[in-house]
Amino acid sequence: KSESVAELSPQKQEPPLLSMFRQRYVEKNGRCNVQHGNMRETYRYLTDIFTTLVDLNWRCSLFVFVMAYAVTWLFFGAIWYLIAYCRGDLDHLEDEDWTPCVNNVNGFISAFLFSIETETTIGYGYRVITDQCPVGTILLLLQAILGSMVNAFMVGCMFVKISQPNKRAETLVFSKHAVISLRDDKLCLMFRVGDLRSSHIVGANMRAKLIKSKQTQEGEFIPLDQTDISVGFETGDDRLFLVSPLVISHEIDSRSAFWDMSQAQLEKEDFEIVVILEGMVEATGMTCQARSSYLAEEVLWGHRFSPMMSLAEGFFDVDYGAFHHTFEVNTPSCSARELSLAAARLDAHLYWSISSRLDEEPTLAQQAATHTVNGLFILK
Amino acid sequence: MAALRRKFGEDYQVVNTNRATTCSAAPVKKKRQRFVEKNGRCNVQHGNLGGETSRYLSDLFTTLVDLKWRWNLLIFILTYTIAWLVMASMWWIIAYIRGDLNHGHDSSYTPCVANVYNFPSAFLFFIETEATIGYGYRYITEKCPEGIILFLFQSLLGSIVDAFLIGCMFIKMSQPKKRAETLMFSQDAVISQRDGRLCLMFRVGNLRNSHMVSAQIRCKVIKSRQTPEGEFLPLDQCELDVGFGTGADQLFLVSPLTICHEINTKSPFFDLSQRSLMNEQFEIVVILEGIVETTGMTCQARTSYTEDEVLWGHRFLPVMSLEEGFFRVDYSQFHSTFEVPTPPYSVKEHEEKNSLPSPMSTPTPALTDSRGARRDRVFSVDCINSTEEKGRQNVSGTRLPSKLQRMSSSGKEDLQRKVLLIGSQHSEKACSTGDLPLKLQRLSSSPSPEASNRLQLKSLKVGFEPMTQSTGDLYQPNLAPSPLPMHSPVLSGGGRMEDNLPPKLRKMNADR
Repeated sequence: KSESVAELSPQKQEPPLLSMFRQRYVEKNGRCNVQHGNMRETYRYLTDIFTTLVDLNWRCSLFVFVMAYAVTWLFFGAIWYLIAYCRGDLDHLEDEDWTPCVNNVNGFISAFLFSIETETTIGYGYRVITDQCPVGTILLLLQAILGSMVNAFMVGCMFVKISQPNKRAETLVFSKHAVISLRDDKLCLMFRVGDLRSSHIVGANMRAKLIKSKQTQEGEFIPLDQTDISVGFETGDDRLFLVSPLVISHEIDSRSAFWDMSQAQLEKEDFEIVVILEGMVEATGMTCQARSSYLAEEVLWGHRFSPMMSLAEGFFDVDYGAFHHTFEVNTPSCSARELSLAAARLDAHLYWSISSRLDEEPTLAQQAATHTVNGLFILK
Repeated sequence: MAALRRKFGEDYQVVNTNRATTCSAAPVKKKRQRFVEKNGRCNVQHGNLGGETSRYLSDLFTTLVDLKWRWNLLIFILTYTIAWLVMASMWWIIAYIRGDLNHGHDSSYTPCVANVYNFPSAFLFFIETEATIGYGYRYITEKCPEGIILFLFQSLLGSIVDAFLIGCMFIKMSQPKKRAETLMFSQDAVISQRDGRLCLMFRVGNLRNSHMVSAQIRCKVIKSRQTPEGEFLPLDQCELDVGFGTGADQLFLVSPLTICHEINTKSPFFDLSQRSLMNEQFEIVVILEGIVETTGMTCQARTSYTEDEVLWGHRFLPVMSLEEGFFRVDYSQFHSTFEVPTPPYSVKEHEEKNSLPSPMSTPTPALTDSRGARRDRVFSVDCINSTEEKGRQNVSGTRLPSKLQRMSSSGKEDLQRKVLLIGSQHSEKACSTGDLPLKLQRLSSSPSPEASNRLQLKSLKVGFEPMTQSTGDLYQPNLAPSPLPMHSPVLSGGGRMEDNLPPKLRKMNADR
């Protein structure tokens, strides 16, 4: 099974994914389609029991909550009953002179009730422990301590589960499509991110990863290899000030993985862009992470995002109805590399000390471009 | 380095003779002390603190949380029990002083606390108050001012101690370092080639479905060394680049990732080869830090790889497979590796081999102005031009023109250095030629075309020593350009030495 993945050439692997429904690594809502199987070291999950409990869904969590309390109550109730039984209290129920361990405990039910009253510190008073019972005193001590510990643990789990920061990611939205168009004469890959709440995301930073299987020269097939897509890491543009929807742009330069990708090639490509927004929830100070992904068919060539901000009386109005809308613009369908080569050719005449005719007549720039291209060929 | 080499001097011979049998086992190595265990625990104990122990008490909270669970529970129970005993005895003292104890069951007498007439009942009353159970059989009456004061004091103190202990308990339970248990590292690290570059790789995996936010990985190499000034640095840490500059160290850890460190000139493993791996001693400590998604607390997972856990020429088995609607990770293959053919040379040797066969050295400005040198230099310049033109006319597709380009543009300094090295003193161990005698020992058992040349080099080196008086003379023969064939790079290197030798020897004979 997994060995066969290594043996299979990537050519054999890829076409089934393309022709059928393409399996996504990350869903649009950020959930990841990975399941962990054949895990032998299960003790690890028990050592980290707190995270195991908090990670459970709500049904299981409530079940564990109820069970933790019920089990301790029953356990101690049984011990109180046992003490009463062993002391002979149950035989002397009607006896006035007999001081039992616990007053008015005459069966398992009343022992159970007494245990609940003690552990939850209600202490009605109908069932009272007497001072003639040292074992009972010790048990009372233990139950009081254990009760407060279990209480602390359960309340802590509940609190952590309620205030989980990853719920904040529900109100962080990404656009449905990514677009590629020209910005300042450079091809850029762009997508939009927005924050639906008025409270801020502190220290928000954006990063993107390209998920694409590849094969190295030595024949190693790396499935779902992750490479970084720069959305401003070096310049600090990846640190966002997110109050209104922002368009995040990745400039396709020579180091980018999309340098050689043209419009025609985009339709044949098979990759996935995972975008990750991390930041602190303003209220609790806990870091949350919002994710989304764009497949190759969700990247639109030659589109631009519709504007959504308008100026109203004293504030800026954001129209979320236009959040996912794009419109077509004129974009060259060649790759970024070809675009830069063409631009270099057009600029080449500036570095030549030949006729100033070229500079005087800008309308002849096209002719000049062809001349220079021929000239370069000769030199080579 | 010299000290280590002397220490493992006898190991060299042993390894050479046993090379045919096992390459992976180092027979003379004994079990060495690790800095960091595989599970991340660090083998460092702090001793002889002297007067600094009071600091631990000032920061009582962290001290309590750092203790093991059994000590925590013991402290918890003891605090409650002893505090309660002390307080209960105070209640009993009040009852004793007031004389309540003698009026046990007297219904007309109002004691301080109703129905408390001996120590057990006093203790029970105390527990009921402290744990806020309050059954009601034993209760405080209003005829007892000192009792009321004690009651207030007990309630307040009880609440404070309760909150403190329960807070400690909660923090200890929700410790983010437990999250590190469900972050897995591969048992071994491997070295193999990726896209023509030698890389050191290991695997990291996240066993839970909840994510690690802002996951970041970094590595340190722990290796004792001695500086040229004589300072011995035990367990010196230096950084291993796993993508810091590009942002590739920020991981998106959903399925197991292979972290790759490219071995280049800036890497501390630049001169690590398959043979030297068996004789070196280092430890790679890997640190993965991230924020636990559920609690928002930062956790750190650590592991370490010693030199015997680094496998040369292996690759990790893939663990991901595609199922219906999801990707499946098979953790039984997580630690498995398989062998792939990998050249056993270090990156340094590889680069040296590639840049060594440059037949012409470029005219260096640091040369002397003796007439002979000038003549040779002019001649060499012409030759350089011819070779460069030849290179340009060559269709770009073979590696050689690029080598020439490299040589002419950036390789100048390398060549200049190499020329200097070849003529330098023998005693300089820090340079690459200092390793030459050892290389010869290693190569002696393996027949290779370079061996003969290297041997010649060694003999040449011996002859070079008395020749270092006049650098001008030295550079002359090295610059003597002869149109050498470039197709057998190594042989030409040896051939060059041979061509250069006769004039030098001739000079030596002439001097003597």
